[in-house]
Amino acid sequence: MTRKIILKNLLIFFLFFNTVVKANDITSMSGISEAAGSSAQAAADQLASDAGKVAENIAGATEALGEAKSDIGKALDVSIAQAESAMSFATESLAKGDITSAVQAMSLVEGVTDMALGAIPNPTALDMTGVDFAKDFSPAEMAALSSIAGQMGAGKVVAMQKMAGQMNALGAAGFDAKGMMGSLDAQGIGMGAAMEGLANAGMVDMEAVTGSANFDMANFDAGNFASLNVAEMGMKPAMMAGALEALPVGAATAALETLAANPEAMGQMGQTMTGAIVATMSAKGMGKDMMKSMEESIGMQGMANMAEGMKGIEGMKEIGKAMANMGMEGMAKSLSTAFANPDVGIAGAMSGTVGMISQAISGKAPTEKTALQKGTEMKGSFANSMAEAGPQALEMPENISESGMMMGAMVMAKPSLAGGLPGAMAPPEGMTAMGMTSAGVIGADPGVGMTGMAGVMGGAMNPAEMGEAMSGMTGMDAGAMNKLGMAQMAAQTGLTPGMVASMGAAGMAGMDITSVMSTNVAGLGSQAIQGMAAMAAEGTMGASMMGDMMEVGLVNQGTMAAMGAKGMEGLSGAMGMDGGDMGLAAMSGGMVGMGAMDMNAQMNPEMAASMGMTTGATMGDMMGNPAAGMDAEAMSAAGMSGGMMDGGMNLGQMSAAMGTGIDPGKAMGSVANAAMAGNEAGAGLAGAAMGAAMSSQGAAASAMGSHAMGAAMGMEGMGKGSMGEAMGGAMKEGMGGVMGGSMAGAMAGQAGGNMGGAMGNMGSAMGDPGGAMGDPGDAMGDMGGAMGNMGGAMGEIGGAVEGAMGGEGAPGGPEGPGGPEGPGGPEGPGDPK
Amino acid sequence: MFNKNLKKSKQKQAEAGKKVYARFVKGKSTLNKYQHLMIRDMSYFEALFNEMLNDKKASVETLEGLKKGREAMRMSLNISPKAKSSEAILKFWATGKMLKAAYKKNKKKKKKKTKQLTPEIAERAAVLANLKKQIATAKVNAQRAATIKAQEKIEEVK
Repeated sequence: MTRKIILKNLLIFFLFFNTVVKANDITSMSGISEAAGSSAQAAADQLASDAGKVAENIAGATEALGEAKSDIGKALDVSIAQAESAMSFATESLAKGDITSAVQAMSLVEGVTDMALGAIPNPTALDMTGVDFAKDFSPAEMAALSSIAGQMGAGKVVAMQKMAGQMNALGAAGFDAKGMMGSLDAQGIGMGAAMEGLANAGMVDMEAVTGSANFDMANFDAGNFASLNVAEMGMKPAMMAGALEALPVGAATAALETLAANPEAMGQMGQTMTGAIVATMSAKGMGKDMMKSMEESIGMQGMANMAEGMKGIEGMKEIGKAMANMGMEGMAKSLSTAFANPDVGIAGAMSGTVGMISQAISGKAPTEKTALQKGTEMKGSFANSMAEAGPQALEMPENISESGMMMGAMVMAKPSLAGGLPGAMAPPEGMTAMGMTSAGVIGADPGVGMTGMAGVMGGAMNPAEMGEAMSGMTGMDAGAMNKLGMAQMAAQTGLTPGMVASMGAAGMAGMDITSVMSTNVAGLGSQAIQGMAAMAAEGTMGASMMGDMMEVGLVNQGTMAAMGAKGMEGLSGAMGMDGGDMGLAAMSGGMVGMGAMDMNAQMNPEMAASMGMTTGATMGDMMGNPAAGMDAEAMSAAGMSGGMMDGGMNLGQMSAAMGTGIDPGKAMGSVANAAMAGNEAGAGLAGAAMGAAMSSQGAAASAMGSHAMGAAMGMEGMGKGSMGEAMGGAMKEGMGGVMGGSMAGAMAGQAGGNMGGAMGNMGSAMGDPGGAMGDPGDAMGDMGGAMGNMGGAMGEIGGAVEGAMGGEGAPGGPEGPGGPEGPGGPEGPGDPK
Repeated sequence: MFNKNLKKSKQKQAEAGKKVYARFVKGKSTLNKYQHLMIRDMSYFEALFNEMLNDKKASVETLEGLKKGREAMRMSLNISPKAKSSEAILKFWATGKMLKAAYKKNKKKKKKKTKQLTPEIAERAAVLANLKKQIATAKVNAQRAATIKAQEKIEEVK
């Protein structure tokens, strides 16, 4: 009996101890299935091992570096010390099985290092201090500069929202994130310093964000700020017009919804501003029909006419006039801060893109070196020995399947997204930081699941539906899937299987998951966009409006899921695709299930017209004949038979490219080529998922600039198996495709100029394949070549300019303007002689 | 941007061609140094392309080449490929003007900034960049580890 009691107590003790040790994420996953729990445990163990190495490295660095003497050095020391404390919290969290808090803490450290690196003087960067805007610039010029500032500053706002979301999650988990930021602020490099800069530049209104005129960390509601749209955060009208040019169109409709509810928010500029916002929607390609159908949900009548006289230069003149009426001094002050203060991020972003172009055309790298370049070149420095002692990229085995990729992504979904998606991108409410808080995803006793898309899908995700879709995507037996608990795992993420797949691809390749997911669901936080998706789902949306949706970049994984089978049928049919499984296409975000594309078919003429494409031409013609030059064998290998392209192409990828302003024909051609390359390589779902992730990353780069490229894209070790090869190939296609230029620009503007330096070394006009990022022999080694191809436009700029100027009949050529004997050239009519 | 006397499209094209040739072909090696002038002269590149659309003699290849160049140049200021030339010209012009004014004022600061980059700062910068990279690797590894274990479990139920 006594023995029995002892054994019973031992068992109770063991179970209790085990629960404490494996609390939180691991326990939650174990509750779903043993397989899920083991996978979560493996992630936690790996993370604990790597976090330990990072922590050791930081401790070693602190000792080796000693105490700094300069102010900047001291500030950097504080950031290193704060990183150490956050890593220590991450390690403690992992010991409790709390992967979410650990990942959020580590992400916050990434953001802090960016802020610290951004504070270091950069001799290669543009210095825009001391310009007197009120004296030297006309109202129209100031409006133009405000627009540029808004566009380039939008990324910093998004980056701050990402960090605020992480602070919110960590605060709920018991980490003193505010204390951490306070210490950094004392050195001038924290959240408060950045917010002050953004407020002085007119990118946010301090009163709207914190409820007081000055930033006060104690009263700062990080979760609330992280979830605000651009109108809610009080962005100044002139800046907002620029920011909305960069952000997805849903950000503009969400802003209009806020302004319609609070018309006084824009003050004297109200009418001009609403016109300017509508003009940004129109500039992205939104037609009058779509605007009219949105009027009710936005709560604003006559929207279609508001854009009249507000487009392009006319709009800038109008904004300039409105600003002049209010007094230009305030605007001049805002511009001065926007361009001169490094905390606002505009100078850094502009230096990156401008530097990239000047290097691309000249074929020369800048003579000055950044602090990072100097530090890396220092012999015997501690920094150089860090890499060896730090975590090494885990090599993926050859047998990894797509189901494995999705399951891994589902384990990491909550840890990666618990900070929420930035509100400026107008994600569904359930995916913002506030949504995460109210769903109980974070905190001392967090729940298992995220709300995710539930709010826009008419309720929680159905595990049976998830399982069916995943089975269709991966070909895995439904019974085996149930045993593994995959359907339940998917349902608790609140994401569609397509989103899970692209998260898997993005996460394994080292992309910034928050940026990728933000563009995947951008706009669904707006009632108007939800209304559009519902209209498509009912089958009442006309082809012209569908064309608008494609053109403005509104066809993303989120809207495709909300459109459902009927909406996808209408969309793909109008695009000239036939057959397929539209329910699967909706749930997979267009990765699988799309019908075959008939190259000889004509696109619906209304749709073609609304997308600005030629009506009456065949699909093949519009895509620039992607199969041109292929022999019968190659065409067959690329999935082409009888003028049909098997499996069609992902419309979300095409829409993402078009949403950034890329010509529809080029976008179609690029996505079709990628699909054909994928078919030829047998890339399957993994390749499609990587293609979708790359496309989302490209759209994010266009919206957020350098701040979208926070992670280390191009991580080696994807494996030599077929899946690794497929993903590497899709990544290469993505970098060489139409969105490659945006990504190159964004990477060039990274903090500290680290990527800028690498880009500068990429050879003449960036055409040096296998350059900075190449690692031959590895699937991801293709990145080197891909970077050399960077977006076509970028890779060819030097040649394009020179070729166009030097050809016969060209401006710089014989008889051309600017050339010998041509007008403007030596001995030509424009020559002073 | 153009002298008032240059009223005809051909005259503007010629003037713009001259500026573009001087900046982007002849003077291309100095672009890193004079980024402010490069941005300002991108407005002439826009004008040149726009005026050449009126030129019946212009070959399709030339126009295509210029269009590619124009798109890449617009990327430097995040100007949409869809934006009208007038808007792009105003943005390039205003930014070029601002950068030129700033260049004049801050010419000497570059040396000061370079001097500030002491080994103390440089080494810390490299440590921070390494730290960021290692954290990114750790996060990727976590997902990879979960995937590898998931695959093992998948193999078991097969």
